[in-house]
Amino acid sequence: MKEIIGMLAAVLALTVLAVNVLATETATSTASVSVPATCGLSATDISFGSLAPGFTSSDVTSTVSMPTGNYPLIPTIKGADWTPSMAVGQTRWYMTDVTYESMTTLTTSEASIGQSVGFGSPKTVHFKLQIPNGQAAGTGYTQTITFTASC
Amino acid sequence: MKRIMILIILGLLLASPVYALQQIAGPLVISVPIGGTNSAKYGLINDENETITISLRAEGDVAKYLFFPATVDLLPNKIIYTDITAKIPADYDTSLGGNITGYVYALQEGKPGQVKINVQMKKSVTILIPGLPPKASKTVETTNPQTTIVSTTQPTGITGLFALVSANSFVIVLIILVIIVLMFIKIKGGMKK
Repeated sequence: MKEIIGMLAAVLALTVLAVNVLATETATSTASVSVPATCGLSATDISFGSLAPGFTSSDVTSTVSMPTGNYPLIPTIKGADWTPSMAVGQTRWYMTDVTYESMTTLTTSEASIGQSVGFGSPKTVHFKLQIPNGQAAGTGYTQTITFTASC
Repeated sequence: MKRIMILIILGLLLASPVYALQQIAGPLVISVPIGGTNSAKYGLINDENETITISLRAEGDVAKYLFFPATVDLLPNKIIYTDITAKIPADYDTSLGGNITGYVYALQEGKPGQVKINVQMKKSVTILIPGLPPKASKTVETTNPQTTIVSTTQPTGITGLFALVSANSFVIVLIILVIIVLMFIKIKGGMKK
């Protein structure tokens, strides 16, 4: 009788152990996620305000950044002629605040800004505009500047 | 003081980055036989909080062989894939080679103002025609889409003896069965007595 009780106790103990072990055994799962390489670009507005013929604007800046993404890139910049009528090259740009004469002339062809823009590392592009003497008066002069990202 | 604050806030609002476009990195390479068509997916992401419309255009030698929508609506914060379809006519001039390159541009126009700042994405596109050698060696961007596999393994929380036994749970069940069999033999033996 004692032996049977002993065996029953052993079975009970082992059952409890087994249940415990099986209950605490958790499955090992592997979760995977695909993170694509992406590049993005963002740029802030600029405005030169009102300028008299023969005058050069003060320095205005556009911040070029990558708000999201993980693939740094070197953007390019290009412009279009001012409308109704003023050459694109009256606008100049540079990566630091220098004199108008030292700046790069904006053209209709893509030009590299020469500096890498990545997530968390925005760059400041400086612009200046010179109005040629004899330029017709007007309030509606507009220009389009395009930043391009390639990746 | 109030005026200064208003001016500062106004300045910050005007300086906020409102043009934000993103694309999946890596060139589009489309393999198309003569007289056939094939497509690749161009992934674009709108970083803004509202739907934007971007315009697509192609430049370079590939331009006349590519077909895609002129405009695409991009929902906020979502990858939108657009089919870029390449079609090589049956009468394709094989002297042009089997490697046609160019770019697809996705343009997001800026807000109208004295200076309108546009942002555009440029994507390298190559059409490969099987069986035709390239006309001349051309540089193709070799960015590979990055894929990261993040593996999470949940801890079992079992250590020491439990860990040891856990590895052999089958053995435990076997021992229980043996004990039960032994019990039956014992009980049977007792009954005989």
